[in-house]
Amino acid sequence: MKILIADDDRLMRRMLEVILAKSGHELVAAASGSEAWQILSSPEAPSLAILDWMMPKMTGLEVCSKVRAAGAAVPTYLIVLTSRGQTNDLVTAFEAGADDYITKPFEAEELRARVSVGVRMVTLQQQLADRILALEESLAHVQQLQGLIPICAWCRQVRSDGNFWEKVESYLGKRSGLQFTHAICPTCKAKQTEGLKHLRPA
Amino acid sequence: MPGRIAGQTDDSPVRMSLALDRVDGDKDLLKELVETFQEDLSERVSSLTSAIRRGDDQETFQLAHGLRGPLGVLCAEKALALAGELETMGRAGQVGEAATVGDAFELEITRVAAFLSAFDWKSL
Repeated sequence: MKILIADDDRLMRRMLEVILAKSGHELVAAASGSEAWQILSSPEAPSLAILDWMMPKMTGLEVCSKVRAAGAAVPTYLIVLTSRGQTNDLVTAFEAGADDYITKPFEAEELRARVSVGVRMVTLQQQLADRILALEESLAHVQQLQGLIPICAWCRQVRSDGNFWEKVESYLGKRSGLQFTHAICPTCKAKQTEGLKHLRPA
Repeated sequence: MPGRIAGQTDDSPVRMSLALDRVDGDKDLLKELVETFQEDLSERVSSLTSAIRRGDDQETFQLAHGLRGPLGVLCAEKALALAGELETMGRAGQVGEAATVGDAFELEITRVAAFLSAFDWKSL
């Protein structure tokens, strides 16, 4: 997964990069909050970001707020890196839009575990968004079949919206995506066979 | 003592074995991180001590905070705690009273730098 690492400290960035690269992630790095926001607001934005709380120009929390305000079909999973481990600090981070936090100093194992949770969440949300899109596309092709449909009592044609008369199979096909194949039912077959008998020479 | 690294005592300013665990046992990475830390350490410490002398709360807060990350990664626990104190004093606007803590930090960071410079990587 493409992950943004934003930290103004070169050592921290490098540590995060090496540990996460070993898990096979594609990494993008930023050295300030404004650079992080620029990357996260681009068309090819990473789906997951690790943001240091204290960064020059824009804090990690300000980046969180901007990302949430911008909205996205699949929300970016935001992990805040902080040396502030007190409850009120963490509540502040969550209120700003963070999904999770990692307290510095951290172990490589913990970092990987928290990133895995993020990857799982992003994957689930992406699958959900794909399903919704597919459903919306299907609904767009299915027109409503409800209410009274006038049908000719003799020829069985139905009257469509534009006051045109058309065959039942054509009417249903346009409104439901149904496809019809042609066959003959046993009753009709018997009738038709009987009718053909009269055509045979005696 | 099992797991003891040559040249490292309980009084060592940096706990290299813990730092190595922190980076998944990747010795090359730890060495790279130490080199990165050493590159601008004197400049950062000099800026911090200068901010303390000037009584600049905001600058002290930011510089002390910035040093906490790398000190934590390298398990320089005493230096980390002192940087934490300076950060707190900076945030609280009490840098005017931070001279003693500042001196202790400067002394400890000198020990950290000396330890890292002399560290025998083959012992890790």
